[in-house]
Amino acid sequence: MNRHTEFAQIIAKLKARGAEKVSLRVWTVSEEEFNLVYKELNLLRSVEKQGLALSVIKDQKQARTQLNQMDEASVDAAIEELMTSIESSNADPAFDISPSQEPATFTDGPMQMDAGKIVSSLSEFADEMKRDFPCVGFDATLTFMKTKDIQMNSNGVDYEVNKGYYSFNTMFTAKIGSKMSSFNYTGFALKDLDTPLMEMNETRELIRQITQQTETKPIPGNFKGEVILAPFVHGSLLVSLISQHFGDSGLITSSSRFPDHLEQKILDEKLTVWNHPRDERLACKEFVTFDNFLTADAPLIEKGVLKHYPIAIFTSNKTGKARTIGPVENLVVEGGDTALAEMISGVKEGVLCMRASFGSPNANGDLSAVLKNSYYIKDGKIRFPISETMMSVNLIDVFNRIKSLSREVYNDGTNILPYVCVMDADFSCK
Amino acid sequence: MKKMQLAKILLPGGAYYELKQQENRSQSLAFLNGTLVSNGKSANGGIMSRTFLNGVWGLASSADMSLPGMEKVMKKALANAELLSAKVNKGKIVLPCNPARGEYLFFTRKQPWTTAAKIEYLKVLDNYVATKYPDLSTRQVAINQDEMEKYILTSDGGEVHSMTPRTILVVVMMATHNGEPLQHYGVFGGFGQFEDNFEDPQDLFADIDKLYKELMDKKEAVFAKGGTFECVLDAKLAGILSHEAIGHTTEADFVINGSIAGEYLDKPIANEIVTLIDIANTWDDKICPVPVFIDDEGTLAEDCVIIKDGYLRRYMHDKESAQILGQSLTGNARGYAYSDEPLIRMRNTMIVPGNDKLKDMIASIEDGYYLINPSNGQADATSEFMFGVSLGYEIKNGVLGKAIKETTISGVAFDLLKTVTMISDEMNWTAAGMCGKKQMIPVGMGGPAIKCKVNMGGKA
Repeated sequence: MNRHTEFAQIIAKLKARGAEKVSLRVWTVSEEEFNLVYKELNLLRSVEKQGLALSVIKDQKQARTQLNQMDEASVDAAIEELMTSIESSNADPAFDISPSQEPATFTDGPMQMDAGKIVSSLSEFADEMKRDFPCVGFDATLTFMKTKDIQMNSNGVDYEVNKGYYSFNTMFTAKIGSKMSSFNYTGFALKDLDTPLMEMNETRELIRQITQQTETKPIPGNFKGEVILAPFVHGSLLVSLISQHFGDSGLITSSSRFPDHLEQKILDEKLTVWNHPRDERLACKEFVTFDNFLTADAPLIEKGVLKHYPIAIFTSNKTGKARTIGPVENLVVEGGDTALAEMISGVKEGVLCMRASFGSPNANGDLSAVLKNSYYIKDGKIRFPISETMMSVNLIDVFNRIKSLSREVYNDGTNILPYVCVMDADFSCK
Repeated sequence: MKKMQLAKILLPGGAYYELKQQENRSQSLAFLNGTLVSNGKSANGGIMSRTFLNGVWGLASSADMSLPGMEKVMKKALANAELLSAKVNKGKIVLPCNPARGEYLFFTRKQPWTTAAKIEYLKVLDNYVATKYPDLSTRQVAINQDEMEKYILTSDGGEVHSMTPRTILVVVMMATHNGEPLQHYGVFGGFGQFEDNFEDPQDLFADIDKLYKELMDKKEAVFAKGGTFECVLDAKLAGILSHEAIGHTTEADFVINGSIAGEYLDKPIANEIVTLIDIANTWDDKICPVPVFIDDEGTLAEDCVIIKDGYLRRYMHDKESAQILGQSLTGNARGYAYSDEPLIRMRNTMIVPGNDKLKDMIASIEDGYYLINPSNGQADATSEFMFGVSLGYEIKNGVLGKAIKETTISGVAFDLLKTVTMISDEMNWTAAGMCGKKQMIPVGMGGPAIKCKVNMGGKA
């Protein structure tokens, strides 16, 4: 039987049991993961996963279930339990599913793994590490991922997305004599393996830096200065900002500082943030949002002005705000016209922050971060790698005090981000 | 989970291999401002086979929980090992073993509650918060129950069938003060199914009242000063210190990759009053939050005394790390999902309680902080750590002062442990932790309160 027909029958069974609205998602994932452990090829892991998620609304009550045993008996038992469970829910008029849309199928990326190329790419990386950076200990994985994702609902939504991509991750630490560095890591998704892994993004530079970081010093004293945030650091801060102040979580819990600020300038005018889920440069694109709409390219922040609240149906209905682009999937921050080297040379006193260890900023945006793999800058020059230094900033201030954005951008396959130089950060040492 | 007859297809002799059948189940119920926004269940089950051949591993997994399915993944796992072995032949390596057999199924012995009854329980709590504290801008009450059921057979004689549950109830409160949002939360429950942790919602009312008072204290909160201070870390923070800052550096895979702990075996690294243990399953005759009796490699799980009287004494191991370092097995190999390979993971990491009283520890500090709740934590191979602190108070002249705004503390754990001068006589476990290391996995953390020197994040 055609799988789509089979899934449509599951929706029909739920409707027959009293469900008024049904969403269904079915996915399969196959992974071939090649692992370097203790600097050597060590593990080849083949994974087959599948899942079925059902969400139903009845009398404006909602309940969900997810299972991965998809035989008829298991699915029937799940339906029975789901329809029992929904009776205990309470009603909210905000629960809804996406409206009818044209069916669509998307296919992106390689559909077949090149195992020989994976082994040769990973072996080449290991050989280069051992040759060029013998003091560095490391693990790494290179994975071929192939996914099929079907989303249907009782309003007639029927989307199928087939994706294939490679994913590389490595974690490394330097040790010279009895002195050692902090660990650092990098990872990204790839469309192909044509470029050596060491030469992609900033892998070689990050590993070169780690070999300098076995000798670190504290900053000379507490000070207020500039911080240059590496793309992967400022990306994490940006995700927190969006989630806490513009997205579902911030609006639904009333913790957003900007609950009614559409079309208002709330951040630095040098900042433009795009939701670019289908950017051709990305190895891991998104075609359908989790609330069953097609993804859309649109600016979230344009020259500091809030253009959209990236919210799903429930939040939209609950808050009365329009659902426009839906939850953001892939962020692209437009780079500036300043080279990283110029950015550094323009800093009187500050820090080049290549990694930061921090938790969720508190509700008003304050956060303290321990700076890792980072460098003290004085009079436009990198002076030394630092130890035991904390940075205190406010999340909203970070994106309101941008001095410049770098020309260089980092593409991790899901986001594209530049370096950002931010003014007035507080640094404290032991 | 219907246990498969895996022994039928276990082949004696030859390469070392593991067969695993596993199902992870969860239930999530959450009220947000009176609306049940989450009412869901999930179950993810499948099978896995892992083979060790000439120094490399092959692994294959599938959701197909049948004997033909298992035979298929066994063949695939062997083929994967052969493929890698052809590239990197390390010759025959024999892995150490200390196999054990047992069944550890922690299903509740009480009458199971229906989903409707659990929702009603939450509704009572939500109503209590809404009625008593109408000034809150947002309230959330949620339950997550997780169950991990595993059946594992190894070719060197290990066999374990386990079902390890835990149930966590979270209460979140938010208020607005001078236009700024304030947030606080409490976590309750731990090891066991819902019925083993919760009975009458009124039992939690006093904890909810305390939570609200602490949230109100935050209205007057001041910024902590940046710099190094004498502090009392309450049990939850001492637990996360044990786990993040010390525990990770002493996982043998980190040691092999260059962790600083590799330099310190049998050397003094802490004040002699400090003893730190990764407990396998039982402490003080009580089952710990994440009990492990036999690990995912079929190894007998033993307590790993990492620091004894201030000396670093032992690392945590899986079979491969124990073989490489020539040390004894500890039973720390665990995988999260059916498809995951076992990694070296902590179980229940704790500092052993001392003889001091918390009030005396606070009274002994002239200018410092009493730090109570962690929000998160990370650590490094150097033992440098950072923890978010979501609740803490100033200590001035031995007396608690104002609450402090949320902040971050940091330090180098092996330095910090030398500054520990007092350890309280209380023991508290935190059971809600998830540790990320390629895979996420539940962990327990515990301890008494400790007095030590800490770097505070704050205004310069």
